[in-house]
Amino acid sequence: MLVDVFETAYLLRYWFAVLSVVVVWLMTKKSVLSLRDDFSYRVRPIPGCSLIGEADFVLPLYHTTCLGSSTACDIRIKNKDIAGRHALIYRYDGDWFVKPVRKRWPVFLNSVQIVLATPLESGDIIDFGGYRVVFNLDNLYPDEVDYNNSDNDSLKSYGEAFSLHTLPYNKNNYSSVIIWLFVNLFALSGVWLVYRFIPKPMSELRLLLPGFMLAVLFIVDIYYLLLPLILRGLDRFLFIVLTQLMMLGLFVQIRLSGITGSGVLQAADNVISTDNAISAEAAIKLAEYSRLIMGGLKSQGLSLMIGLVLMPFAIIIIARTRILEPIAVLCAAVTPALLIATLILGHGSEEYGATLWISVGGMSLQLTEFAKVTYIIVLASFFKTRPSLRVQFLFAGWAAVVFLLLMLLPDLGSVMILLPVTVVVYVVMTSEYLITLGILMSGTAVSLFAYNVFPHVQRRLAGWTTLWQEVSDSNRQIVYGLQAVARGGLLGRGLGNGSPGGIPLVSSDMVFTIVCEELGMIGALALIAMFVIIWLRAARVTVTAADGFTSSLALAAGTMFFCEAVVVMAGATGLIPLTGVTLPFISEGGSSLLAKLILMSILIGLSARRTGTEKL
Amino acid sequence: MKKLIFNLKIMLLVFFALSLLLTGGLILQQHRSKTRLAVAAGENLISLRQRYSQAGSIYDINGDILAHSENGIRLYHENDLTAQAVLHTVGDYTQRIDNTIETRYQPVLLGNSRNILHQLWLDVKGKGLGGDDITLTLDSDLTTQAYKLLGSRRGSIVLLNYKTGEIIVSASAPSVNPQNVIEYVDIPDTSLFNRSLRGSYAPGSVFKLVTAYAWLNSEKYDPRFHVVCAGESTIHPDYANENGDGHGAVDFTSAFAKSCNVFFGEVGVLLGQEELLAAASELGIGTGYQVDLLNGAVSSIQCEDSDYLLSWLSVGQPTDSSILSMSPIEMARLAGGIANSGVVMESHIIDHLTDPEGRKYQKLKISEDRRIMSIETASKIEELMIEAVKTGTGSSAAVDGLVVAGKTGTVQVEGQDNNALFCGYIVSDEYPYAITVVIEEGISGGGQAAPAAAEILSWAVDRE
Repeated sequence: MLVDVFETAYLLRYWFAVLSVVVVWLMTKKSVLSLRDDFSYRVRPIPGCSLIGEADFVLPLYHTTCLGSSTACDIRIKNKDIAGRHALIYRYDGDWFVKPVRKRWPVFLNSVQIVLATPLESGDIIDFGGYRVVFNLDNLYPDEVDYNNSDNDSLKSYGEAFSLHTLPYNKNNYSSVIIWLFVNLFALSGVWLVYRFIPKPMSELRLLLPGFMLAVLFIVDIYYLLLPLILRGLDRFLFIVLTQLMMLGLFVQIRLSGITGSGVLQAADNVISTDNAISAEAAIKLAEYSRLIMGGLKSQGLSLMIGLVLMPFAIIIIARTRILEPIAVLCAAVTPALLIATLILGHGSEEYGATLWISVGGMSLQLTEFAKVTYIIVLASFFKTRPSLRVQFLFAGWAAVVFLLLMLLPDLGSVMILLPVTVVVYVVMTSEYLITLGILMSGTAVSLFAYNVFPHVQRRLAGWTTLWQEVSDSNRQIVYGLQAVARGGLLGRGLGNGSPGGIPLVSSDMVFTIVCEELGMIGALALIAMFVIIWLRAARVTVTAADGFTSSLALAAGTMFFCEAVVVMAGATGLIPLTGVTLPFISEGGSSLLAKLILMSILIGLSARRTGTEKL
Repeated sequence: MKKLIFNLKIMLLVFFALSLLLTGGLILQQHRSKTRLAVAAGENLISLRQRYSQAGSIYDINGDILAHSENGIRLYHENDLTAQAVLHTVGDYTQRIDNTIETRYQPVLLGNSRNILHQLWLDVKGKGLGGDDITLTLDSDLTTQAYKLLGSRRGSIVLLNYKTGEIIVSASAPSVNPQNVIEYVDIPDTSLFNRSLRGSYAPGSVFKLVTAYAWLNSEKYDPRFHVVCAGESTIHPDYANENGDGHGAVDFTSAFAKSCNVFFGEVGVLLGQEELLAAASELGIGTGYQVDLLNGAVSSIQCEDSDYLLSWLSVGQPTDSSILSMSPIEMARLAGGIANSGVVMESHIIDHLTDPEGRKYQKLKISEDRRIMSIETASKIEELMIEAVKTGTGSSAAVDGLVVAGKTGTVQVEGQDNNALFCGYIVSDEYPYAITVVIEEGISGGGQAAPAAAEILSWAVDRE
């Protein structure tokens, strides 16, 4: 009976490989194409908002518009009294603001010099460098002005921008239904396998686990089908990726929870295979085994359910209101608070160098996972536009506190993720290339510091560098993981057919190696592609968003998913030293799963916000 | 905004590059792991158990199951003695013994060595998960009898077919049940060591085969050369026969039969270091050998140019700085080469492999390994060996109704009793068997090793 299901699982690997390739190919292609469209067609001035310049030229506005003489500016005015980057006009929290880039280059609003960001109203007069523009919120259609015949170079280029507006635009009509069907097939095959894998006498478990998987699939499918009816423009691709990752994660975790009780299973197996009637002893063993599996999956399942139930509300609230903006201030306080709480109350196994769990009502919580989410909200609110150097220093101070706390915990995994996220968001939103270089260098300094201070970092690094020479305690985990990767080959051994037993931390840090073993190189590459797709979809939101905050938060969220995945995938396969990071949606850990679901809700919610091209 | 788009495009490139790097890295790591970590020491035991739970079976030549997997467990031969006797050849799935069928043929047993089309075909037929079966040339009954014969004595018995190169018996004692190896409990000293394949024994008087070969092929060879043996050598007072008695006047044939150290010592000195070592290397001593994928121990020979050391070396007894060692299988290969008119055959332990569909492949191919001597030299040495069994020290190796050729050996080992050796073969086209018996602390080759060889040979003839 058992051999049967192994063979089935083994055959299904072809099915899974084909599905993965098709799904990933279609999704990547469509994501890249739509991002390209967004780059060329959707990055347009926001209709209904404009500056009226001299001679009644209408100058368009983006959600963040830079005025100055350099080529990097959106509105270029060549004048010796105008700085390279002189003034910024941007939208935040639904309102428009103007602010000078530097103190030395004054900006006047209604003849009063301003220093800080100041709200704009329709009809306000802005003077800078001897140039005067009027801020206008009237619906003034751009094609009423003939830019192309203008003598002014910069205005001409804006004419191009406006004329693009009238191009026939493919309204992101990329249907995702076929991909969605494929992903559902994938998930249903997985559910069926789980059902077949659980021995018949464990009837309770046999109904419960596949039932739970079906419920999760059903809920996400409902969201996929219904939410876009409420929120136009919601990114369905993200739902598909979410479904795929969650179902894979559920399968892997259910499958791995069986490993922990393998002794019990073996005993049960023997009893079942010898005689079909179950003795009392076997029944006890089976019950024990069921309990083991359920115990292992409890926090996972609970987090998943909480996350999924809250998801639509979070998405709708984020999409329809501007609640995240005021929350950012709160997050600035909450982030260090969460870390301090972990520092004081945290416990964990010293062996792995980190003490990150705190117990709340019998459940273990890893607050650092949530701190990561609040951190990027703060990050995004700081870098919604290019802030003044003073504000940048303020952020640097705050971030330094957060990073110091993370190092004290120590949670180097989070540092390794938040650092690149910060750098990416910073450089994209502010274009401060020199300072970025400085940050990168200080990042190197921080890692050197970490290497010298933390013994477990040195241990891991030593294990990593001697990976191919000798097997030691410090790298056994990765060697065993790599052996599993090697066993997988191109197509894998089939879901449930691998032999992950004995790999330390196989269900959390090393979970990627199981994916490699059971789904093969194709499955592993598909998984990488999934995270690339998340990033591409996030980049779309960044491009089309109506304000800088949405833009930068989406970028931060997408980058965080990607970085986390890359750090743990490369770590588990010995490409970089391994740090304790979870593979989003797949690794074991309720807190991580819940935090990732929150982050995904934020990203989906942001995607459903009004885009810059819609009229306010 | 323009800048933002520009930056984002740069980031897009960066992230694509990162993904490509990761993809490439992953493929590289998989490749490296496949080639370098697959059979690495310290493999994950729990995972090995899971993987071998679907591995193919190992059969002996008669179809007796030596290892198979059932209900998720790897099982070895049900008879304790047989399981012990074949342990060193078959091995165990935890891979604590290297150089075994289980370790060297792991990809075959686990079905990982197939090409993708064949795999696809098997998958379609629903047989893709099973590994391939291996049939050995080993006769487990005979090996068990040989192992029983060794009993509590340490040593090794090897029997091979010198016309085909098949290894029929390969027993090494002490041994232990594979279950003990898996659980790693109650393992007697050196019981995991495969003496037949990996043992390094000084060959003692068996080496006189080499000296005789060198003498026959030397320009200094004189059929009338003889020595009056008084038990002590004229070259060096310390040099003596094993028992110290004199053999009187001996010529080449009687010296070989009586295993006269004085005669062969003087021959060795006459030949000189260069000629003797050259002859040894012509016979393959100093190079390793393969038994399919299993590696045999590399034999070694080394001797300074001194009459004293040389005279001892010519009788197979390394002294002081000289080194001389051979494995039992290599000695049997040497005897087999003489029996097979000077040609050593490629040794084999794998008869054939069978895929899950029952298709046999990689069937044993009989092929010459190398010619070590001319037909004439081989037949001359054969005469000497027949005489040695008929009238000399190897007389207890004689088997009724068969012509047995052979040479005994008795080797002094510091700090323990002498090792007993016998190396020989049946002169027959019907029963082309070469044998080596090594019994550690067996006192004398003629006393313990030769009778054991006679028993094994008669069983081997009877088995068919």
